[in-house]
Amino acid sequence: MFVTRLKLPLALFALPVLGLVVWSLAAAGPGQAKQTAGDQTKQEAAPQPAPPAEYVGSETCSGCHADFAPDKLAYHKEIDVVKRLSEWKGRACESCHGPGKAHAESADPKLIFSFKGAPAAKASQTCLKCHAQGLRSSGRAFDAHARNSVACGSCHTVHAPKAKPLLAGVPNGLCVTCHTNVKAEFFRPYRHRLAEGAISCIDCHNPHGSPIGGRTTAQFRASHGNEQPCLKCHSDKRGPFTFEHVPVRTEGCSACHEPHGSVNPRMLVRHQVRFLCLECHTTPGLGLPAGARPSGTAPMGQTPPAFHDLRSPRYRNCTTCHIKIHGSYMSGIFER
Amino acid sequence: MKTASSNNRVALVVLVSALWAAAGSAQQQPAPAAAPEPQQPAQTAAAPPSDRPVTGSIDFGYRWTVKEYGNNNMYRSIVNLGDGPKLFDAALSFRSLRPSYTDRVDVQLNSWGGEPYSTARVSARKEGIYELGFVYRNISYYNNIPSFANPLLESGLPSFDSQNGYDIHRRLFDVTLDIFPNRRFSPYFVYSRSAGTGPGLLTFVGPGNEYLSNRRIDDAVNIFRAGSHLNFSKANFTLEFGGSRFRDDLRVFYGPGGANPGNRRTPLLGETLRLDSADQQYGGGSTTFFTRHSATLRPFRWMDLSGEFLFNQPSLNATLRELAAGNLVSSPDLRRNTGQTVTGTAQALRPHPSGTASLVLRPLDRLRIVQSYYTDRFHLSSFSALNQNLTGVAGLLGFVLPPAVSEANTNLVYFSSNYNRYQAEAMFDLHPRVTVRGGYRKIWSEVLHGDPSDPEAADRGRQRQQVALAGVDVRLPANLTLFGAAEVSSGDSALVRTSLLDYQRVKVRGRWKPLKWATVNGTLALLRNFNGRPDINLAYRSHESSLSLVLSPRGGRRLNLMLDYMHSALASDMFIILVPFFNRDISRYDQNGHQVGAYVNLGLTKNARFDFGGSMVVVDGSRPTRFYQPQADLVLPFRSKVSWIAGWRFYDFNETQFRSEAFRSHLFLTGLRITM
Repeated sequence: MFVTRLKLPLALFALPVLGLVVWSLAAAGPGQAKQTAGDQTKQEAAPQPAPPAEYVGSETCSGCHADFAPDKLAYHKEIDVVKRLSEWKGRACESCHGPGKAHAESADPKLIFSFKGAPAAKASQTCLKCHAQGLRSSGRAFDAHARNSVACGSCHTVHAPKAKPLLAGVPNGLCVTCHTNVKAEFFRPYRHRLAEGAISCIDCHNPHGSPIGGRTTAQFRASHGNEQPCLKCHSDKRGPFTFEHVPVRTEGCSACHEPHGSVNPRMLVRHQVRFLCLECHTTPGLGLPAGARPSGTAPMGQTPPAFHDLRSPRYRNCTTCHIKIHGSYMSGIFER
Repeated sequence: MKTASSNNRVALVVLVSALWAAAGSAQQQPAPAAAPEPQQPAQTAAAPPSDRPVTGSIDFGYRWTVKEYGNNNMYRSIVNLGDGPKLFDAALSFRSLRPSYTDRVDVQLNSWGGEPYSTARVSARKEGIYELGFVYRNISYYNNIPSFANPLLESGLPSFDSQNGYDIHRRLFDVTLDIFPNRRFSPYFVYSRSAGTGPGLLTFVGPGNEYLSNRRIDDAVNIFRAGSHLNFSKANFTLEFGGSRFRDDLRVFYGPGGANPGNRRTPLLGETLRLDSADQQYGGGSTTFFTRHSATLRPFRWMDLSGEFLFNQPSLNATLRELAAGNLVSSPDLRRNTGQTVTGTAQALRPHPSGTASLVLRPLDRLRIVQSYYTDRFHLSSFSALNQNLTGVAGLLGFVLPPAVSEANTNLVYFSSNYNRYQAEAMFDLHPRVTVRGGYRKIWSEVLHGDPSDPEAADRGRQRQQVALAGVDVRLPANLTLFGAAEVSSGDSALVRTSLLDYQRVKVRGRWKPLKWATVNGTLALLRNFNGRPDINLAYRSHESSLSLVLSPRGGRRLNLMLDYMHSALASDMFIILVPFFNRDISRYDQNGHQVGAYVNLGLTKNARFDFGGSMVVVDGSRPTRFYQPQADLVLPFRSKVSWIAGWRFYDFNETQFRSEAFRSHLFLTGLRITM
């Protein structure tokens, strides 16, 4: 079964990938490949500690790269003035690009580490030499950006930032340049007010990776230590409740809601509430011992009692009676 | 329900302040206006290339709405922009030209003056010393969308009342302070508050009937956290501690105002039910202690180790006081009564630890192996006790009962969830321009929910899933980049019927920058999920393909063009059981949508701009919907620092199945932009 199901996506995926690989290798050509490999060797060497004599200092760099002089940088000019970075004083450029003596003497661009064109992992490792502190680093193993070779420089720029912190564009605009489908979801009528500036992508998501969305693969920004980000604003849904609605905790808010935008009221994933509820609440066996159910691995969510006559509109919107559907202090069936 | 207008006063104060600031800088040299990015909130640049003390711009003016037709409740539920004087946008940077406590202060204000989402952001920093950030948001949540359960639908008459509506304001406040005393130690402090208040509609639910009533939402949470980053040459640690206090004082009330017949219009066992008055007052309060600690170690050049431990333990103390009068029934034996008094208390404790551990190995220059383990566990132990006193008690169908009855009901609940995920992935650089990856993910979790005194009747869930992972990143010449990722899962069991089980997910993303001023992005996302259990038979298929084009010749000074298009299709069907006859049916949901956004920014003269465009949503399927939002904006300078701004917005919303919910509205605005 597993192999059978593997065939279609593998075929969809592998053929174009194989074609692209062959094309890219052919397009690069042996000469270019050799040259790039040479760059690679230099690039790998660059961030490593080097004898002081290998450095030339930022003043020398500014001689040719006046626009990128450290004193014109937004944050990284601190490398020259801040005491805690004193070991790099006067060598701000080389703190990222590596020792520049060979490059300065020959003006050969291949003899210095350049972020442009460098493999994403190498470029990011250079940034992480200083910026590994904090939670952005510990979540990196869960970071879809890192896994997909999206380097720090894809979003950040040291030399010409357009927004804080050193972003190459405004935060939401930057995210949707790649996540074009998400941008389109925000055009829908029931949505979070992202385009209007009320919230930002990074209010909910952590672009540097986070384990909090481990159940959903989304990179959530945590609230209250390790809760879903939705609960920071929708704090009345957090609890703890005496009676918790199980999927709120196990599946997350996106089990019932489309957080970016929906054509269904309340950003629900179904057009009518009864279908949303019944798709889970269809396992027979309300109140029966576990052994009396269809099988020991039956999913959770039991069929409602018979008086819920779904032919009547009164019963079609389940939350008219089950008003505390996210969790209740007093009622096990969420009625108060 | 009414629109809050208190923000008008704030807007006025901000306007006066902004004008004063503008006057103060009137002698400065004119600065070229930056090209605005439509549909994005204005952001302050990281470093103003200027030595002037104040830079930025302020947009303010007046907006009025012209409603062509439609349902005002729906307009407010979806758009909610109103008339009046507004501060549309202000972004100011104050820069200290001599040594001071701050190098720079940035102020950014959006949408003030009775707007549904007003924001203020202030940040101050002194290089190498501190960074202080302040964010305030006042977000209006208005929802008065007709409910399907409205009893008038039975009679065939349309009704525009919601049975779960609200008109609340949620005020969010965040203050963040980062201090940099030295390179080893950098503490930070964060205070956040979220408070929601406002009226609404909700049902007072009793046995046999539910009665549309008023509600008053009043909740607030205060969160404080503090921590520090500890940085060493081969290790970094972050230690964070925090706590929060939450209160929830919801009130649901009805009357006096006549008998409320509720949603049931037919007698129940010979009794016509009604509610004369009700007052339900909740007093929920919870306190939480949480910690978050992380560590990153680089013992060798080829190895990274990191881990994180997170823990939060909220505890609850809640009360309920309820008074109701009318012709009511009580459960479980359906006694009729004319009055009821309910008092309740509840307590809960929910420890929630989670942790991660990850290992990154780079045994070869071209090879990276990433292994990670994530676990998330929480255990809820809770207790509630309800005391109910009924007065005017009588048996249904003429049975005689004592006139007053008191009964108590106690519940103990236990709920535990243990979730685990292990993932191993290898990434290999086939070529400097090609990286491939492949790996494996295993998920296993257990859920137990029920009464601890009756473990046999507890609801149990189990999840077992194995996922194969693959991906490729190709960076081709001519600035063409392609990412591809695929996941194929084979699951043994899922927690709920709609969970991912046997699924295949493919994502392909591409970016092409053929010219310095032209970018094309495309995305394709496919997901197929199946659950072949005979009583579920879930088949879920979704597909999203999107394309965006951005053209900004000559830095966008004369022309910017942004075009976005997405086609989304979703089809899901699965077995459900319909009561009262427990017959099997199919729940089918279809959605086939086209979402288009197009914006053009034209630079007419040096500082004059004309922007136009909009978005369009055309969705067919289970809930056919059309939503059009065209817009146009004009900026015409008439003094060196003052421009006239004018704008038009149009909202056209309609749904084929719910014609009464349609609306069409024009919004016009005019005002001034002052540039400093």
